[in-house]
Amino acid sequence: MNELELREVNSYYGKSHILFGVSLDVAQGQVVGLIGRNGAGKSTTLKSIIGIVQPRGGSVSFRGKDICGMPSHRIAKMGVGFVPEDRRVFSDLSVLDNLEIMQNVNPQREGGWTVEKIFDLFPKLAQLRHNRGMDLSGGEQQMVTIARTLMINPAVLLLDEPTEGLAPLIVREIKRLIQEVRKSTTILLAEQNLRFVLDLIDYGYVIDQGRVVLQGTAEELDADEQAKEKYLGV
Amino acid sequence: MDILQIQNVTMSFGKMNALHEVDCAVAPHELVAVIGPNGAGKTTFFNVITGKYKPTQGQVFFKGERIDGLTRSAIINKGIGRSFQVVNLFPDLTVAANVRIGVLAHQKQTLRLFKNVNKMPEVDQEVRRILNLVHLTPEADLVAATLSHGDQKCLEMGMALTNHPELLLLDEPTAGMGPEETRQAIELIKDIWNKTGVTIVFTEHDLDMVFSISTRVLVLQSGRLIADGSVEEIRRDPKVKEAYLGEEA
Amino acid sequence: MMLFVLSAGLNIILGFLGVLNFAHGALFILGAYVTYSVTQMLGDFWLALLIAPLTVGLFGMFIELIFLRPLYKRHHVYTILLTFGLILVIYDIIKIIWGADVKTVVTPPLLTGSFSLFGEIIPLTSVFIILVGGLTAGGLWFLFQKTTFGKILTAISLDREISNALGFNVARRGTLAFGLGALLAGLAGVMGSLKLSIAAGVDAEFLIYSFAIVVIGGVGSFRGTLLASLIVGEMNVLGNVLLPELSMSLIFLLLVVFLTLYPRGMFGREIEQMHVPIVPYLSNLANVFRKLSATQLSLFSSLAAVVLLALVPLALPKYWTYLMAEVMVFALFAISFNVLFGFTGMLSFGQASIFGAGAYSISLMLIHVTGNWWLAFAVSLLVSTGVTVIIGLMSIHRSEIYFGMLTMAFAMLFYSIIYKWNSLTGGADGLSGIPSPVLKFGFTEVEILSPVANYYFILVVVALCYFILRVIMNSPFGQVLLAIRENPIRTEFQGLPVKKYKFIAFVIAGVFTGVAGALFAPLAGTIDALASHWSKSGEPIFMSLIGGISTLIGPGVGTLFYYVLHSYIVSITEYWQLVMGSILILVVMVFPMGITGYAKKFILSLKAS
Repeated sequence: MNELELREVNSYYGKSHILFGVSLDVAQGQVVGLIGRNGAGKSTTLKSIIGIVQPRGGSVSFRGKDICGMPSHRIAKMGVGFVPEDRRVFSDLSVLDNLEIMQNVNPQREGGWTVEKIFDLFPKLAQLRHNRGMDLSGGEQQMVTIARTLMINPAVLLLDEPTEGLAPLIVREIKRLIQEVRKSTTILLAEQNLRFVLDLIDYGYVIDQGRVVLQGTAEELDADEQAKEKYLGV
Repeated sequence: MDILQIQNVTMSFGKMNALHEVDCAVAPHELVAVIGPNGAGKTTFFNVITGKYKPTQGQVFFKGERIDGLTRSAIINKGIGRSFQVVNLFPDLTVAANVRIGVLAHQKQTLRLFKNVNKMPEVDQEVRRILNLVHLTPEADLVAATLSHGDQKCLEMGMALTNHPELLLLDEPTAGMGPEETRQAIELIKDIWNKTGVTIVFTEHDLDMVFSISTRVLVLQSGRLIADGSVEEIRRDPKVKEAYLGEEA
Repeated sequence: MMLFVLSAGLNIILGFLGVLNFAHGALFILGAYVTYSVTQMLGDFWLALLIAPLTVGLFGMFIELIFLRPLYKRHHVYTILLTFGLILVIYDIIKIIWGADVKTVVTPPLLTGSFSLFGEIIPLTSVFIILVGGLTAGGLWFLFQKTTFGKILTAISLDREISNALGFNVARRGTLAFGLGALLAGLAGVMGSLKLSIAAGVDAEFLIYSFAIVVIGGVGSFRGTLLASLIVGEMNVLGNVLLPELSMSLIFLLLVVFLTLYPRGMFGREIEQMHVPIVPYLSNLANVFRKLSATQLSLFSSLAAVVLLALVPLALPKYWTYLMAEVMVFALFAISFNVLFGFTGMLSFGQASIFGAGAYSISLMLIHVTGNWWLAFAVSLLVSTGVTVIIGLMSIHRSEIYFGMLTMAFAMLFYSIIYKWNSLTGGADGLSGIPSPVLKFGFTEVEILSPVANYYFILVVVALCYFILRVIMNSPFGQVLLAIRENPIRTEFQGLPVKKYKFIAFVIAGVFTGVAGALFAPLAGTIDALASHWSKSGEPIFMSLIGGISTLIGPGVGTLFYYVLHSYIVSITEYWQLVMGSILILVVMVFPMGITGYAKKFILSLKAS
């Protein structure tokens, strides 16, 4: 059984129709890419899964259970972790508080994420633990948002453009993090940065104008020069 | 002389530089696209020009006159029109009334307290002209909130034209549109550009559209201007390819 | 310290839910009443210390769950109005349970007596209150700085959507936060019961001080609330000794200064505000509104209304003539208020000051200076316009909830001046024996003595004002006001400096509010400080909402409805506040379009089908 299954999802923002029948599968242990340009519908797909956007048609299921229409906090508790694209750390709280408040959302008896494990994975954050969210740089904020979501021990992690607006050095750091996290967590990764995604994913969906236009393994996607040009390229 | 000059503009929010030492200029009657990945600073670029933010550093000139630091309405009254990425109308007013606000402002009629607004033929004529230009004449009496998304975006453009701007800034004019609506919007922009001779600067995520109509393209990445050139130059520029497809790891 | 506990509760509710809880004072006095009952029935004050806050806290959670939760998506004015309605309901519930007479709590033996320190005699109850206040401050500090629960509350108040997506049940914690705020109000009630005579209404003063404290200290900061409570408390004590005339005014002056210069207060953050339309959106029928002009009511029906009103003294008993004259005056008050509210999107609590300025100045002119009504009226208009310009210039720079709070601060300042300036205004007793108008037309003098003559005089003036406002609302200027209501930022981007237009609108509304005040005083013959109390500014809001804020005449219809209903309810039950409060709550929650709004909808749906 797949961790996540989307079938014919149709979503709207107010009056604008954004997703036109998006279907995709995320199998356990995989990193699945959701690739497309700005405005293609990547964020809306992730928001439709976590319930910030309520799809008006189709179904979303997590481990075989229909989660469409549930309030987001229940979906999160079931094990879907969402990392928003615009970061949104809790600006008035310290790095440590940003993490600690998460520890009782979905605790695991053993093997769950703890603040210590997070600090092992993100040594930078350990140094900054007493800094407030608003005093961090963009890259540091991005790390906090990923770490914060890991603290709820998600079975599936939804990552929305983690490299957006970040300098190359930090992008490389984020890549390292994802490679660590994938060992224990299934990941659905939305990105427009193709090069970044291809090294990471097992399988990918290319989305354009709210529709899945192409899917395949990283190799298949990389080999399709025509599609790269048409949907992603310049 | 350049109609718009951006000189060494930096816009910081806390520690983050949304724009970093951006330098560029736009000549009259250009049709310039500003592109870049999400978060590259495109909307901030517009917000700095139209006075939502005062740049942390650097200057903005319109027709040789410095405009950074002026109020929004003062900047608009210099001759700049702006439409918005997220639809930003007067939702409970009719389409005609939406356009009429800007027309009244432009004709300096807004302080008339005792004149019936429905009996102003010059205003009505101008409203009709603009509605005609953006193909919304049949919808004139509908309440704006009930229009389709595509029509709302057209109304946005109509409202940006009410002050007879010399410079029109369009923020993501095709955002949220289906393929057919996008095609129509492109036609409309070209049409306005040809008919009114206005200079247009627009941000856009749809690169096909950008390449089909722009006379010049500016590329932003992480707040920096990484390329500035004709469509052909931009298409070939390796830095731009990298910005979109990712760095070679 | 009692003020600190009360304000801390208000602060939690404002900071966490964005609700300006006017019923906070009513919850406070409810806490005092529960204390009274527990000490009476169980004979134990200490038990009350536990039971009263919990009872009020639970009651608060009930309120949040049933009444407030459905309103968060709407404009904040609706939650404010709802808490207004709750005050009335709670007061009458108190009256039903405890009766109307004043109660006092017997001080428990442990706290009777006093000791002297540095020559001052300090009662033990004061020590107790300081102790409880200190413990509360410590407890809150611990809760929000050291416990996960408190930090989660902070996180949610910073970003509700993401908190929800990370697994926090934001709605449930909202109920808890309101409960905590109410619990603190109840605790303050226990503390207050040791010092105060308990009666519904004594809470109003404390509510106002709490607002001042929360704003001065800063929303979201307990440190600020604590410091501001001490400042306000000290100012009150010292002021009463040194400048008894001015002590209240000084506090409100401080509040005005903070709202104008430092709206975040000493340590606070900005309240998160979303722009949502004031007028509930009429989507399903919207397109039937062909030319959506400001005044849907046709000229013909307006004229018909005037003719009908002219028939009132001929057709109805005398009582009605007086009542309807008053209705017309307050209709003008409400209509001019709604020019700001329903047509420009500005919720002002300061309109009672302007009304009061008009009423007091014409009264003083007629009593002391001249019998010539025109002169007195002209001076009154000048004074009320002056007050309007001052409030307007200071307030228009702030928007939405801050504008509301600033105008309210002005209203309090103005009220405190009238209340304390005994020699001029008669203080709480007010002025009486205000002569009826004598009008000079050329060489003839008409003394308007009889109620009927007075009625027609008022009808002429009010009708004239209505038609002038109608013309203005149909003008290009009126269109700009609608645009500002719909979308102020876009209005700026259409090249219009919004503040300038807001100011002009404020002045226009103020002029007509002043006219209403100037008509009112000679009609009533007396005027007292209550006429300018900020809570009086609540009445036009109520009337506008009942009548419908989307039409010019709506508030007038609402006023008529309010008066007729009020006089009927008073005649059948002593619990009229309960009925009126419930109606207000019902209107806010279920019928936000008001009478004329639904009438318009009905007529349009007939046309459509």
